[in-house]
Amino acid sequence: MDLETVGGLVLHTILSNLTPKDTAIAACVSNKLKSSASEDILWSKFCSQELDLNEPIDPLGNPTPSFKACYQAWREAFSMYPWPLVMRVKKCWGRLKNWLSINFPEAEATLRKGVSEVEIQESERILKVKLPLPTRILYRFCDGQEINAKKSSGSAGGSLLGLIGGYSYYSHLVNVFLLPLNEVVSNTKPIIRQIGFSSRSKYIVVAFSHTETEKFFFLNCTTGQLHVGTVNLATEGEMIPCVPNALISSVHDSNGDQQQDAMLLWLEEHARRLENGMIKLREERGTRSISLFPEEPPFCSTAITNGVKVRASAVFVPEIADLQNENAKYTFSYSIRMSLQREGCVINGIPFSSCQLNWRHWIIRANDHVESDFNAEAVIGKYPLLLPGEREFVYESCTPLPTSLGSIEGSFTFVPGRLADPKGAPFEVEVARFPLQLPDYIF
Amino acid sequence: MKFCAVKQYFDDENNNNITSGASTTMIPLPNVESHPLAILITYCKKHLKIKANNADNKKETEKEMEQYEQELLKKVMPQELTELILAANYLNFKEALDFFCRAVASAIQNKSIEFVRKFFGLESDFELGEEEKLREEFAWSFEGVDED
Repeated sequence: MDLETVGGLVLHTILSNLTPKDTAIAACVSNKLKSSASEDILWSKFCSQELDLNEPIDPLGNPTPSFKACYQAWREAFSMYPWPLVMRVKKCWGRLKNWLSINFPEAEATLRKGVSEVEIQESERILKVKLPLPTRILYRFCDGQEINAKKSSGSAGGSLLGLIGGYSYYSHLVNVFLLPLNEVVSNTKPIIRQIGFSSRSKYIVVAFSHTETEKFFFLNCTTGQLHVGTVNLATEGEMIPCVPNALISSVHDSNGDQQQDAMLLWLEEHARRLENGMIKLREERGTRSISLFPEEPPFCSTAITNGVKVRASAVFVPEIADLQNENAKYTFSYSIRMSLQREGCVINGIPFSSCQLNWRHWIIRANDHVESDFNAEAVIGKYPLLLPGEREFVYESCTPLPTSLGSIEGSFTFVPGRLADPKGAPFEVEVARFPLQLPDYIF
Repeated sequence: MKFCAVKQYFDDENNNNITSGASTTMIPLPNVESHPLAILITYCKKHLKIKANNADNKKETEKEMEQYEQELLKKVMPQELTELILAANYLNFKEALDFFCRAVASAIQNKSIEFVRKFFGLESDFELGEEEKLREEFAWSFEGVDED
């Protein structure tokens, strides 16, 4: 049978149905196949499908002469890892970087270039650990964030660029950065010693909050699970796992089918939440940061009464959790946002051009049991005055809970006009019930 | 468009004003063996029939066609595929050509260089040492290849 007589077009049709691997094998068969298999249009398709590349750029960011050379360069640079895992990690970083470049470029600028195999091996040697496979590849693509980034206005400016983001209530402020490998190395030993773990511990510090409030994330290199320190971290070494255990698998097994460790799962979940708008960027006093307060149902509730809109959601605060305190094991911070619609405050058909908060009525439940039900003046000591169409008035507070599940709901009492000059009778504005829930992914 | 080469022939005939006897005209196809031609004709007829049965439903047509193609593949030897490709190519029968090309691609999926050579009846015509160089260049592609 004579394939020699068949035209290039037919060969091209056959080859265009092959995987990169089979195309490469075809290129080693004979001169004719080698020529057909080397057509760059085939390799540009592979670069696009597997690496999301529309231009031939090698792993170090340098352009290559062809897509074929480009694909080769990537396969060779990552030949020590299972290729499907490499593609998966690349996609994860791609999603995060893409979201940042569109929404938060000042944070994207802090991301460091990936480290080399040599640097990973050196870090493992000093730390006396073996990094889980997915984490190694994560560092090959991106070496965490530059912490001493150029500071924008005010000393807080530089420290709110954490990729993982955070929240603040009263004086408690966290914003979590991913550490570069050299910071992982220099921070792990002193912190591990401080919390009383053995020097042969397989925990390494991979992320922490770059603010006065302490919040540390540890990766267990043996199990591949990520943990966050609770309030008892320094005294008891107490930590909470951040990712569902059942999902972690084959973290050290090159031949395994689907390797995934907590770092990869955690970052993939974070990318998902950013992409679907569950968490968003928040701007406070001119500085932007990623806020972990949910913005979408079912975790964020919305209610509109007489033109007053109230949105409410809560976030679990692991660094304050106290697993040994039966009454206040879990702490949640919640964020309440209120605003007045453009039409103003309309009560029984009569419009008012402003309204002001006077009282709050709060019902906090642990499971379905009412923990507290109280009325009090103001919110965090303030009496917000709402004007039509203005930015939301936002405030945060917190509540401890003995259980991992609960809820808050309530109402605010407003007066139309102002408290100093009421234009009508006070009215109640609903705060729709929102959940307090220990999440399966903890950030 | 099926059997474009043959249709071409008819068009040419019409242009020469030979109208009658079309059903008894013999069309020379020197480059096509009878066996692959028979398969192609069956394929074509089947495709038209399925299309007629599922007049507006493109999805149904595709599904039924896929089922037929799977059945057909079971009866055809892998070695015959190259003949079928050459025949479909000569006759300018695009759908059949695409299908058989896909079938060949499946047949050589995850196979070794030697297997692919044997399959296509090719010899290595590389210069001395060139194949070694190529194998090094594509080292990443040799993992997990099927046993011959």
